[in-house]
Amino acid sequence: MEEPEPALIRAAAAGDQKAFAELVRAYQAQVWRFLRHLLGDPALAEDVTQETFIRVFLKLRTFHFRSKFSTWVFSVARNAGIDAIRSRNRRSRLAEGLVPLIPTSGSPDRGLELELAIAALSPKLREAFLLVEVMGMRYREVAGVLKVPEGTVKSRVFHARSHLISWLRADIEDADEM
Amino acid sequence: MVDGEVAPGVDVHLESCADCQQFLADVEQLRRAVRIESVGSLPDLAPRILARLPRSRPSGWLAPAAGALVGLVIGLLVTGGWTGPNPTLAATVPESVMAGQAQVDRLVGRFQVVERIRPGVTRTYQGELAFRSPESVSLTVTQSSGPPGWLENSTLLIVDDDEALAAGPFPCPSFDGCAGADPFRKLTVGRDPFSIVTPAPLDLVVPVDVFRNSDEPPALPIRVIAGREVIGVELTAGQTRPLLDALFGLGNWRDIHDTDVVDLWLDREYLIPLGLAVVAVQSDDRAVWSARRGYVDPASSPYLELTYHDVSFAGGPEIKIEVGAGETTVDAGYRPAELGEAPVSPDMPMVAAGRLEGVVPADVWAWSDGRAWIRLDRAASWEGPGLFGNLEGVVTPVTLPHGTGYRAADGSAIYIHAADQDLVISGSVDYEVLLEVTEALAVPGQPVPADWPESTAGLTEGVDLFVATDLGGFTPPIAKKVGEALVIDLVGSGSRAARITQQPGGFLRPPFDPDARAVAVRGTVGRFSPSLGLLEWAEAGVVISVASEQLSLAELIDIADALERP
Repeated sequence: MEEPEPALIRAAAAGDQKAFAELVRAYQAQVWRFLRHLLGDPALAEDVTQETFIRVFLKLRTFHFRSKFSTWVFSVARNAGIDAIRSRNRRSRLAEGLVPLIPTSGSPDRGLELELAIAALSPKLREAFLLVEVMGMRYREVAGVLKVPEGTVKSRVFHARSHLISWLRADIEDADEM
Repeated sequence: MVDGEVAPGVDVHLESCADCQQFLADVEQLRRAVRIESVGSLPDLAPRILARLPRSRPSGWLAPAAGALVGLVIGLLVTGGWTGPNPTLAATVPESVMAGQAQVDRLVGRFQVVERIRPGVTRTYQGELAFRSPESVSLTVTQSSGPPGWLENSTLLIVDDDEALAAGPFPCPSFDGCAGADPFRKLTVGRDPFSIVTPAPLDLVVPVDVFRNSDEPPALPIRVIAGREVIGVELTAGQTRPLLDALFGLGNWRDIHDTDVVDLWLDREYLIPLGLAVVAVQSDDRAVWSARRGYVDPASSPYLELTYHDVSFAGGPEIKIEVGAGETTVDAGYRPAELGEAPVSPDMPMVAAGRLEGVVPADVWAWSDGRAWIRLDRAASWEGPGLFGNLEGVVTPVTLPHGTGYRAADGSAIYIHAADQDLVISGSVDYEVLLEVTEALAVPGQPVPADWPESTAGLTEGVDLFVATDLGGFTPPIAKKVGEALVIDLVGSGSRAARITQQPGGFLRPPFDPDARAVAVRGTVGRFSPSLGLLEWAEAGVVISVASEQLSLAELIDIADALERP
């Protein structure tokens, strides 16, 4: 992911809406993609993407270039996503993280199974896996987004991969038996 | 290997391990499947987002900006509906608290506290809080019901600039003991402005110390308390400790476990805490902790609750706060004095200037706006050892335009050691503001002498030990050498903190805690002592410990996992 020019970030932080719009356009697709997988719901992901950028706007003056801008934006997105999951769980009174979500995208069968498998991961495993696999971030960057140590990220990605591989293997075996 | 980050020895292992080869193949296949996905298309959201942004933007941090930010918060009724949790508001609470502290000039309110120890054993209290800027606070908490035979747990804390009165029951180690012991009533005169030794309970007015350096807290549903809309956030007791201590510091209250959940409700406009509920977290260690104390704390209902029933901010009669007589009197050594022009002018009215007689005499200036404050201490004859004014010890060097300074770990103070003077710049404001004031002072700060505890000279020599890279939820780690041991301090929000200690060695010494037990950490067997919050293990010729009273075992293990050999 390309980093925006510091001057653009500073202009947006000072209230330049044109500069801010440029930042939104630079990241909205990736943020939405990440949230789509995290939440399993493209419409909700669109709402939370908007929410993310409103928070980015409010907090922009607290970004002091101590991390990459993309890392910072993703950590705001991730927090907004987790908040959305929490409030949905509170409303439906199911245990946090154990809500299997039925994705509504029109992907082909294999893709749908994979989406279900990803959705069945706990949020902690799911978000780590998405940031590494789908967004292609390095472990260190993901550690910055999730605000956990790098070792924890590696461990969570490992567990996520193991779960997904077992799920998909079981799937293949079922299919073979049919 | 899959992610392009190869640990040494992996490729050699792979040549001979069929299981690992299979796993690697599976992961590659998984990756291909994940990457080939129909993404769908997203319309350009920028116009919609821009349409939802409020028109005015905060540009600084004091009065104009605080007003703008408060207006922003009020204007943001966009998500969550009227009564649902509003994550946008909750996410902005830490910044709003820091920015809005200048807005609160006065506060008068009455509240109720319920303290549950076990079923059938409950105490209730009626409380009153009054605040008048800059530093006049009156907090009275009067017990209204409770088990017979217990010492009455009523407390009083009144601070009026340079005088303070603290009164409460005899500090008794048990609830039902100490019959007939007299309550205490201590008067402090000559109190220095915004003293950290006899602090005014200002976090009950605006909880700055709770939210300084805080992450975005999870949101709770919006409620109405005392006729005011309140935003709810979920915190831990460790993070809320500055506010809990302000309320429960005096008196014989039950204990609160640092990992317990605190639901905190803040007035939506002024961010004043109007409601608080503490709920026990469920864990084996916490169960042992409560069993030892005779508490029975249910999983779902609060064991400690505070709720305001009426409150007023602006307008109303002048708040009179008077410190009465005490039985014992202590003189803290501060006297107002004519000091001439202050060496710097922060953007706030000056509220105090005087001399403080401590180990050495110091000039003190203080500025305040609402609940916000800045203080400057200057000593001309300080010889050390240690930075003048540094009681907490955890500092990190910072480069300033005119020399070197030292920043307190939580960003609430900056220390300068110069040839002819030593300074402390402290305050309730953001670190960036303290930095501006320090830079305006333009004093050429020097590195401290090598034998002072804050010295970082020689720190990296012989360091073949582990370092902690950036850890989430904490300000950057601060390292120092103590004898042969390397000590790394991590400071988080509220009172969350951890200390990592490493020294050469091959095995752990016998434990102090009878409940110490073995735990798996970093692929080896370590030991956790729950009463000390201490995790220890030995690795590669080094004995390492991670200690914290505020963090759970899982969090300590996360910190342990983050250590790397440089």
